[in-house]
Amino acid sequence: MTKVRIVDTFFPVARGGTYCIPGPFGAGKTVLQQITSRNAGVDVVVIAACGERAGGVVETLREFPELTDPRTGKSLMDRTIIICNTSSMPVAAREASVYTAVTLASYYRQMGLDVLLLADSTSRWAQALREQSGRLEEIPGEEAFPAYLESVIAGFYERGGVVKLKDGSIGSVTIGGSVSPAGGNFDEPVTQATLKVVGAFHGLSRARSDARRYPAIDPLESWSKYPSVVPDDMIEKARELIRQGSDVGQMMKVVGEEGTTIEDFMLYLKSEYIDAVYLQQDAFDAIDSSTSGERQKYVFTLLAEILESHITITDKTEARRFFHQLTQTTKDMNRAEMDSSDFKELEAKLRQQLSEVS
Amino acid sequence: MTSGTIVGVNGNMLTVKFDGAVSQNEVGYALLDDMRLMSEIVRIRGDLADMQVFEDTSGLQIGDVLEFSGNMLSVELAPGLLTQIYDGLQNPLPRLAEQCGFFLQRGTYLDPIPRDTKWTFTPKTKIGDSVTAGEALGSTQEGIFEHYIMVPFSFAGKYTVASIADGGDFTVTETIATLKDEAGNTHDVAMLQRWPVKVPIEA
Repeated sequence: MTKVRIVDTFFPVARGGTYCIPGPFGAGKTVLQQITSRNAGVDVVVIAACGERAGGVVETLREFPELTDPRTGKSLMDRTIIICNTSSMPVAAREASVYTAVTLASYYRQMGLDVLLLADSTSRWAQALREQSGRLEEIPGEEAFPAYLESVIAGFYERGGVVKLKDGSIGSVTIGGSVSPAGGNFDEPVTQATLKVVGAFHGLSRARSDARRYPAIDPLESWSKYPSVVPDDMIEKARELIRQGSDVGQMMKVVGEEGTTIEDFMLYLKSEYIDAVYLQQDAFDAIDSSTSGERQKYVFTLLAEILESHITITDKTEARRFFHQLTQTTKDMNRAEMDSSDFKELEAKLRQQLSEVS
Repeated sequence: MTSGTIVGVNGNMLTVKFDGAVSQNEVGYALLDDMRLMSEIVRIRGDLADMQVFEDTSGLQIGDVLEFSGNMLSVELAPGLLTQIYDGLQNPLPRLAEQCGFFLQRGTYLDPIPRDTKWTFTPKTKIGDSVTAGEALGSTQEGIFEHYIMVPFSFAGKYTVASIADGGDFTVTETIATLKDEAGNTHDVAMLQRWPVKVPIEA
């Protein structure tokens, strides 16, 4: 439970599960990591900054103590351990650093706590393995990575999971590994080996981050094997809509808005609407940045209702204007406390706007 | 203590000829002037061990001595881990910076857990109780969590609590309990335990 809508609703990660975030640099991995460590339903956070640029690590080190923990109101650092091994430090220690991190995480798991381990980035770690393997004069595998790369990666992720302890309490280690594939090529060995063993994949996309859509998790490429907070068939419908909307969007780039039928145009607007009000989240707004599971369920059901209703507008300009208004109202609703009167008012306003056109 | 001599250097990889017994993933220290450079065995062939050094290796020569520690690469587990900033070998970076300045010196290793901090120990077991690895002997408060002091994960089999501290303030290395194994030998237990990083904890 991360309280990030696109994660919990569309691509959830179970406690004790594993997930992977491949992302080109600058796609918002760090921000996403901070938000997850702050809001995730875990006790202890272990961050392994492995082989990242020193500048990036310094940023993490400087910002982390300043983040406030929503649970205690004190610094988030009080329940965090940071292991850092920047790209300027010796390579061999980098190989050890992820193991150090996972051992510390399992230690706290033995006390019945839930631990989140964020490893950033496992690609750099794999590079250290490659360097070591090369020096040992072993026969290289694909892209000169050692032939045992896959089993080493699998062995690392297998150290996550839920355990039942002798006294009956339950502890867990959730592992989130980021991968930085060279040139954004997801077909390279590290990404592929990781995808085989993780339970969820949050593909960050450059296009989305350039379009200033946060979090930049690509709704079409990502997947998860864990159960969501809302029923599967609703998710499937929403994903189908987003997929169609993106197809229409692509087509419109070629044939222009005039060449698009009103039905297709409506699909496009609907998918943009759900993107703007549900997939995207305001990281700087205290309420919007952390949406509880219960709230996600409620709002998502409401949105599904809106998207399924038949809208009778036939004019494209009119339709665009209508969705703009709808988006604005829903965004305001996102920023309101769930039980407040503002929230209820905005919800009523939303329903009224909808009834005027259907 | 087993020692060896360096017969080859390739980047951060050393080939070491040793006499005695060594094991895979064992830690050794290459001696260079007054520095001790930490390294780990990654492969053993015959009486040659390939070791990766966790530091810059410039200056090491053929014939230099390397001392094996007898332990695998391990981390220290004890109260006081939270809020720390470590490097990949569990060196506390802020304290390291206090000692060496902004440029870290190779071969400097500090205790990951401060040895002088005292923690309030509250026992959860009493003399005569039977315990196994991973069971809580007592606890201490670390931040917002109750940090369990467990029977070290490396203790195989059943143990009987022979003595246990009544509570009070202890440093992480002070003995808080003694355990008796089935053969009748006693073992001292402190709040701090070590665990090799490449082995998953199963307790």
